[in-house]
Amino acid sequence: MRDSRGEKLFYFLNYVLLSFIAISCIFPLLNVVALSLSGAGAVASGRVTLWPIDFSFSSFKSLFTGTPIMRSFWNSVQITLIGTALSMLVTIMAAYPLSRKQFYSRRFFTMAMVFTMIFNGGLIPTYLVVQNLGLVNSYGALWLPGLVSTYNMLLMRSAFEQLPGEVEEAAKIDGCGETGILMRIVLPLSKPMLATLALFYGVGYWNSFMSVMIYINDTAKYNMTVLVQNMIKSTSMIQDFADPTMLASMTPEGIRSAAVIVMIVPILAVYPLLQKYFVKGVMLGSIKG
Amino acid sequence: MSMLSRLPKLLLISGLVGSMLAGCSNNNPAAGSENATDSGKRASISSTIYDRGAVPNGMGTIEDNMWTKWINENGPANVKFVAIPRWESQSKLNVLLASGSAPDLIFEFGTSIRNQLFDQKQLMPLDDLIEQHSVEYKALMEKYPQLKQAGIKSDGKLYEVGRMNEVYPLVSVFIREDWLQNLGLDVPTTEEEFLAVAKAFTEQDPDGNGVDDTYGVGGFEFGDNSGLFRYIFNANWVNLDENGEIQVGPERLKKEAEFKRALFEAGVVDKDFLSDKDGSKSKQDFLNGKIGIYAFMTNDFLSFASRELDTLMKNVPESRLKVIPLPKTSAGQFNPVWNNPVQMTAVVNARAKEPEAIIKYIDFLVKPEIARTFRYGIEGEHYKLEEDGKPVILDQEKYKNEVSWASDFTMLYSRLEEGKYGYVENQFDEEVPAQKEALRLFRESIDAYMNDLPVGEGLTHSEHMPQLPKELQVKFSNVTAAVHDIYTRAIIGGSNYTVEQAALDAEKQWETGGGPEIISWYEEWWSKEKDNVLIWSDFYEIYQQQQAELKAD
Repeated sequence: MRDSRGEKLFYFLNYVLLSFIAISCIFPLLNVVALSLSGAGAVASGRVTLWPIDFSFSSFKSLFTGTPIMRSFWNSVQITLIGTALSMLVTIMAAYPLSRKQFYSRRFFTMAMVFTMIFNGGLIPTYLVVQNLGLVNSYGALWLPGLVSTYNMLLMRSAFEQLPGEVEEAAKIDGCGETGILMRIVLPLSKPMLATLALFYGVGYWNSFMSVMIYINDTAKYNMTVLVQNMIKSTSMIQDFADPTMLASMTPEGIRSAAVIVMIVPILAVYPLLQKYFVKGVMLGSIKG
Repeated sequence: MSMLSRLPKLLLISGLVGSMLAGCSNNNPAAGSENATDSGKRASISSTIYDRGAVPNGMGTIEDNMWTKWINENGPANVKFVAIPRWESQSKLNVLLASGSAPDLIFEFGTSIRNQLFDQKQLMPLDDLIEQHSVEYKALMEKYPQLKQAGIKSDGKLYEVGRMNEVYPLVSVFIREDWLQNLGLDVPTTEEEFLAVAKAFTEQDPDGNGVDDTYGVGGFEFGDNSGLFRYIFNANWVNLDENGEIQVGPERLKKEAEFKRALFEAGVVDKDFLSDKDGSKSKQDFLNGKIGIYAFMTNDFLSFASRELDTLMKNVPESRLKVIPLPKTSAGQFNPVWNNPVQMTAVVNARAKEPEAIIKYIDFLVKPEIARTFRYGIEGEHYKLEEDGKPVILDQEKYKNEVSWASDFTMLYSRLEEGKYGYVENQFDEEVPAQKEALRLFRESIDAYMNDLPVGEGLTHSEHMPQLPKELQVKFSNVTAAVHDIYTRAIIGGSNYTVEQAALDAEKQWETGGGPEIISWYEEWWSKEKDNVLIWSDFYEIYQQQQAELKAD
């Protein structure tokens, strides 16, 4: 079937608009890449836009030798991997029972969890709790208070609910217990959903900023977000420079850009790998039968 | 992650909760002041240190490195450091204080943050402690009584300690002297001449490249240049009138807007100045030789030399800059803002256990020969003193790696106590062309702006302004933003919206937006505090004292 003129025009406009949006997302990123690969002089005079000028890796070199970026990179990796694993484990353990119709008063428990989405203790009380648990200055403070995201748990619960009951019945008839059903039937069938949620958790942990800043006192344990934020923001504190040599302790823009690149690359690298699950995750439950 | 992602929002709410908690959990300040440290045991205290993420790889962390070890070996007490992220210092301090785990000695540049701690009764009064235990800081306070004046809070007690900085202009207005010569013009001295020169720079092709690609002045909404017109007209909200009384309101903003409108209509500024959100376009234009008059933040002339000036000299070798005094206007003639010479930087936690040791530690940091260490490093290892006392860095690379990031340990370092090599003027290395040029401009800027003309930044330096109560502060921010928008509209509005109309609208906005309340708050504050507040004329006296000492040295 051929598209009518109107449709062609519509597609054309759509593509123009979408390319425009895509470009406006990509340009700032390209700018940062260009800054990180340019010479210091070109960066300072603001001549760098989308293409590196005086191409050099010196910013990356100074970043890796001159700043604790590698230490914080490994901290981020550690926080993310362990945090995601723990969160997924506990979220599954919460979502599965709540998705079972025979679970006694599951409505009450679900609402009790939803309640925490609306009300919460606030920063200082939460801090006091974390402090009394002895978690301040350890990554436990990052993992434990936000171990289960209610929203993610609800997503997972509805995904589990949508699985056809017949499959489980069949499993039961074949002699599967509850654990067996979860491990052999429910989880394998929910892989797209699990991948999506793992990514949600992973990105969340990777980007965790406020919690690290508040709970972690030892700068050797800082993750990349806090380190990079510190590099970027502290250049804008005018009052600090009443002593005219203070500026020497500032991180130059090229190095800051390089740090941003190092920070976003791992997440960018993970997305394509999980892409296929995303598509499935969206399709999930759309066709019955 | 809903918990974590909601944290920033929680922070707002918890500010209130935090202050409540803090208020009740803190009942007997200075209870431990009897704790004598002379029992022979070395006291242990804790202190904050800003973390800027700038400690090089292999040098440890900002709270545990060669300098913290050095302090613990050479200082009067064992000091445990707690890192405070520079940009998030307020929220970090809030949780530390509310949870009772804040360090004894708190370094904080932010006046409003220190004021908040005072309002929450988190701070320990220091009068008696300094009287009894201090030598160095006490002597400094005697030399500069302003240091004491600035450290006293509304209950009449001393809570803050700080440092004396050199007074010099924070902003300098540069004109392209080579352009003036090309066009046969003189330095503009009045607002009319300023406009005429800017117009000539725009229209008469001052760089002689045959292309109409120049502007008279840099953008005037964002970036370094944005304060220029405010200084020229002293167009501020809180001012000192001729009778020494406080005057609050938008009245002085009108003339600034009229002048900006005239400049805008004459086409001497980039018409798109409003979209240049951080002023970087305008700055680049100047550094690429396309703008004739531009104001830079010159709080740090040395890095101005190595960044902007060096860039300009490379991009446009024939350029020659000159620093010009602000033009005379119908509102008078003013100076651009100066450095704050009396900078409060530290407070003591009310719950500190060993206040005497803290005072000893403050004394330690105040001593020039100690504080110098965090700036130049160890004598003989990082720097040497020449015969006349000039410190010279031995190995720049080593210096950069080991010392350059330690400057936050110098927050109590009054650099001028070093003698003449503490002064900015003697920091330049004349072997480097850009620095030689910067020194020339620095001297011009001192000549142009360090005089007894009033400073065009209202009543006093922002770090000495009082804190409005929260509710009034919100109103004040809203009304200043609204009035700013009104005048911006008038600047670009053409015949549709005149400055006259804008002034009426601004006045109305001020009346309905809480103006009278704000005025009466400031008036009451002024009637109580006017003898204690440091204002620009006090800073000018400090400047004269500093210069007299430089000459004597």
